[in-house]
Amino acid sequence: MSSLLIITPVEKLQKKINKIVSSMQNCTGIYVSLNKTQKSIEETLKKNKIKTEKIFFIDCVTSEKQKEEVLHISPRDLEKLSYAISSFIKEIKGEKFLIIDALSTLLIYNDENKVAAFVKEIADYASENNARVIAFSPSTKGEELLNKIFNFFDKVEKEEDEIKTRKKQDLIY
Amino acid sequence: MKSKQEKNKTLFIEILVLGLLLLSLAAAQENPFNLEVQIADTHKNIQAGGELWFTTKIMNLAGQQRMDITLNYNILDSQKNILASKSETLAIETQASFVGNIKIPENAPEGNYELDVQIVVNNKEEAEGKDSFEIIKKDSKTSGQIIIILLIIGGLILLTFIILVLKKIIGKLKIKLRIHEIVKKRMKN
Repeated sequence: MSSLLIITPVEKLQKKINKIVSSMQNCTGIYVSLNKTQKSIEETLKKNKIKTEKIFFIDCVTSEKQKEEVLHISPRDLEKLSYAISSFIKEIKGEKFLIIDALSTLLIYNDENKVAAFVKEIADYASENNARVIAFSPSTKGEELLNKIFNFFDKVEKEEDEIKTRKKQDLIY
Repeated sequence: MKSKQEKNKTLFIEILVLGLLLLSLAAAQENPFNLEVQIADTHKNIQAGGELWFTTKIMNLAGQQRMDITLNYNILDSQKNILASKSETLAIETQASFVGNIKIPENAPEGNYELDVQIVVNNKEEAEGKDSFEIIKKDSKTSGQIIIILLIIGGLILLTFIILVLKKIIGKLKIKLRIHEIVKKRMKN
């Protein structure tokens, strides 16, 4: 199974997530939410007519248990988070995917090298267990981290910030 | 004018003083040193392996010129056997007072002992001073207590480590079970 790192401007992040999740509606997935609450993400996905029945959420934003089927883990506890992800991967039979939204958020709570080690561990485990990993990161954050981890992914998609691109073009002309 | 009786009295006193002077001079000729050895009360009970501290006071009664003397320190048991000894040479003029020490052997048995100090000049013992003390049982409590404290600290560290590891394992098990239930429930639906 392939792994993909998507680096995109913040304003395009949700759109990109919707597109990816929508394309994998037939598979069972794990959604690690580091930016928004599970409730908010589920609502956004549903608004975009994306089924969430086959998605298991790990909410790293709220610590309170709001829904029985949602796992709440602190973004500081990478060991626990990694264990939960691998346990989900193990439990889910057949084709599955893992979405990490968004990697750079982990840098607020953890050391860059620890995050890099976490990403490697997850990518390796997913690849061994028939799971597709799609990790998102805003292009403006954690450039150092992204430079360290892009090798762990089979594919890296980088979308330039429109404003930056325009500025560059203005400079050329 | 002094009376004859008064003159006789003065003569008698003069003869007496002179006699005493001659006597002390003779005594000083015979035993020119006075030696005092004292172990402080706080050091009267000492453990084997410890240092015995004492004060030595020497008075040179005869000589006015500086001379070298040898001091021999011996620790004697009740049978007058030497348990430990030490010797030192020093120069003395009229008097000297100093603090000295001698190490008690580690294997010294408990009991009453005597610190015997001798002044030797030209291989001749000139004076002797003594004081007694007691060697008491070595306090094994201290090392025992240290071992117990270390064991307790070690035990606490080990216990903390075990608790942390168990907490981690239990936390992981809880997550695993929860995930198993979530997946099972969802898959049923």
